[in-house]
Amino acid sequence: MRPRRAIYRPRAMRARRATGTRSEIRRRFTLVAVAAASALPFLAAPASSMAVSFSTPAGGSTYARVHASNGYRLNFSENDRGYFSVRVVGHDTDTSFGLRGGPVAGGRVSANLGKRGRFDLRFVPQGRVEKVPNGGFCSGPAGRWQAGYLVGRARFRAEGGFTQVRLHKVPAAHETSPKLHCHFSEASLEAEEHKKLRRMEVRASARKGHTHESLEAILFYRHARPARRRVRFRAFRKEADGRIAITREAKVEARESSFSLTGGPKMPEEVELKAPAPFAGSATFTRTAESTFEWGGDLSVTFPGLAPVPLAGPSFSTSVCAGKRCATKSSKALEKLVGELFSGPARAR
Amino acid sequence: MKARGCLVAALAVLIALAGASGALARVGPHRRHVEVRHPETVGQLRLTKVGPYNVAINFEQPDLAILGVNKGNPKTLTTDQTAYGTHFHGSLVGGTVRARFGRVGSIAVRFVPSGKPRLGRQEKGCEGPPPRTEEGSFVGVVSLRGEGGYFKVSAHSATGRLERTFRETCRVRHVETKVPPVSLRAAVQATRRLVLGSFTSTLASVLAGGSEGGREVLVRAAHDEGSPSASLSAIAFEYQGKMPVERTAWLPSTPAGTFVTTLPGEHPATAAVKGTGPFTGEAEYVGASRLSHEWTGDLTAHFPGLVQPLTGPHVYSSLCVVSTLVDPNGCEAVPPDWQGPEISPGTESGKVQGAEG
Repeated sequence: MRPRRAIYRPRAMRARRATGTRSEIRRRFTLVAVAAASALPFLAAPASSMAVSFSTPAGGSTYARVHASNGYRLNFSENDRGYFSVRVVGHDTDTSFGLRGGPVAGGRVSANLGKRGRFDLRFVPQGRVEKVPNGGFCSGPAGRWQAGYLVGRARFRAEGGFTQVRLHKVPAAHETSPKLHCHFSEASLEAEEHKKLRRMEVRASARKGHTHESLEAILFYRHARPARRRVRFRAFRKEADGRIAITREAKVEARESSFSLTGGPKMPEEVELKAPAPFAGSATFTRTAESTFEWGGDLSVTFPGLAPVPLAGPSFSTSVCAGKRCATKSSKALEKLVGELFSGPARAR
Repeated sequence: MKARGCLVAALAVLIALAGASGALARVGPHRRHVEVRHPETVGQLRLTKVGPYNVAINFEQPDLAILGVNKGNPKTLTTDQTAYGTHFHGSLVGGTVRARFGRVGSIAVRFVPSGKPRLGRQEKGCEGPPPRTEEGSFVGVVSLRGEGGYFKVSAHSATGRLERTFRETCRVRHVETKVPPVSLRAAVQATRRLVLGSFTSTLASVLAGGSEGGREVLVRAAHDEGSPSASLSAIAFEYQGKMPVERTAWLPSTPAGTFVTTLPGEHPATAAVKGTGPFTGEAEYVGASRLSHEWTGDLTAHFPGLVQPLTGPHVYSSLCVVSTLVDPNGCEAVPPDWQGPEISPGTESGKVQGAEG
């Protein structure tokens, strides 16, 4: 189970929340959608329908949101199973650091992030406990929400110091939710962005040890998005630094010219991507005379605090899809494995 | 991973083809119909390895005997095979078989079981004696010699096996449609679809085929979706007297550079095939237009017992290069563009049809 998103609401918002406003329901939907996405692989949904039913366990979490330096926002939380997460959002990027925190004791938020800092805060409730509606997708008793403050000491400095913050007292909230039974239909899961709006997609991913890097580029139809937002680029990187799990994401939208179909109408799988900052360079997906595919170029992404990360090359497995039709290139490692399956390891290719 | 899937599927098909058991209906959970299945006996005579070749004779009721001479690598699935078909005399149920394979030779053997028969599992919902497998040996005379002496065997005994099913009544959900008895030619050409087909969509393929002096020849080079290399296969079929003979050379995976083509939409469309394994020489396809293309070179297939050129004035060709984003079924959905008589790689229609061009 992923930790809950840390969202702190100002007092003005709290007055409306008990009535189950649209934003609250959307937030609930987001929380449960995250749980649904995690649960999807484990649920045996019938092939004919993508509808998903599942239960979320009872639990609680303490969270807060603060402004950090250089225009970034910092959300941090710890759930009642001791999982601590701090998320840095801003400048089209999203970086999360997660780990098992300190000993669980009544709404404490404590974690040692090593060179990145330390959190040692306790929750001080203020005001009355309020009920939280479940939204339209889940059934079960209402949850509880308690406003308050986190007091103590916290300091955080991200890699290269791209953002930092020091805290002694910060507005926060503690939320508990009972066990919920949720049901999502295919329509509700895809409501925000239907697949039919996508004209073409490029996905590339590579894995090196515990590091996983991936790129997603989607070209939308003209009727789906305005010209300046016709293409969406997203880059991900997952890694582990000791016991800290780190996920990074960069997301930008660009004009149609950033996603060019270089192969013409008879070979639409040949594409060239040129993404704007924080991306740099370009990548091409080309078909060879042996009807295999190559993914090359100098496309890279710069995540905050890191050197540019290459997103093209032979180590990436890549697919270019138009609807359900795809042209796929396996990674070199997989190609080698398949080659050995057919021809034996001694064969020179 | 698709290529791995192909490998598994290919193995499954090979095992299914190699198995000598009869076709049995799958029984579903709702058994509403009663089906009567007739007894069936199949057998196999296995000879020890003759040079690089494995030699075996499969017997099928009512009277089909298929002599298979093959050289293969189970790891790479590379196969060179020649199959000779004939009708046998005698009774497979009684275990007595006499068969003449034309100039190749003949056999006159009788089955002698050894040990207890192995009883198979009765299918769920069926009543009757369970299937039985008898291991033993065929004793008598086996005298066979391939063309030019590429294999030669003379023996008085060979290991063998008989598999028997008995009359049984089964409660099934759907009654199996009755499959007509397999003809001798179809039995000899059993692996044709596997060798000339594809398990996934084909992105590029060149087909060439023709007929000369009563011998039909087909060659196919293809790039399948998800496979890192090309497959190369060829078939030669002829009648030696009344005996159908099918020769097969099949390389499911080839070294880089074996088969290269122009890209979809490029003009003129060209392709080149470089020989490897049992293939030697090279061939080139050049297509100026749909109505004008040529297939030239010295590509040759070295089948067991036959060296066959795969180019020439009587060999017609067709090239297909597609994008799966445009046509998801690949070249399988594109009819061959023969610049001459229509040639079909189908099981029963491997002959050249028509005579135009």
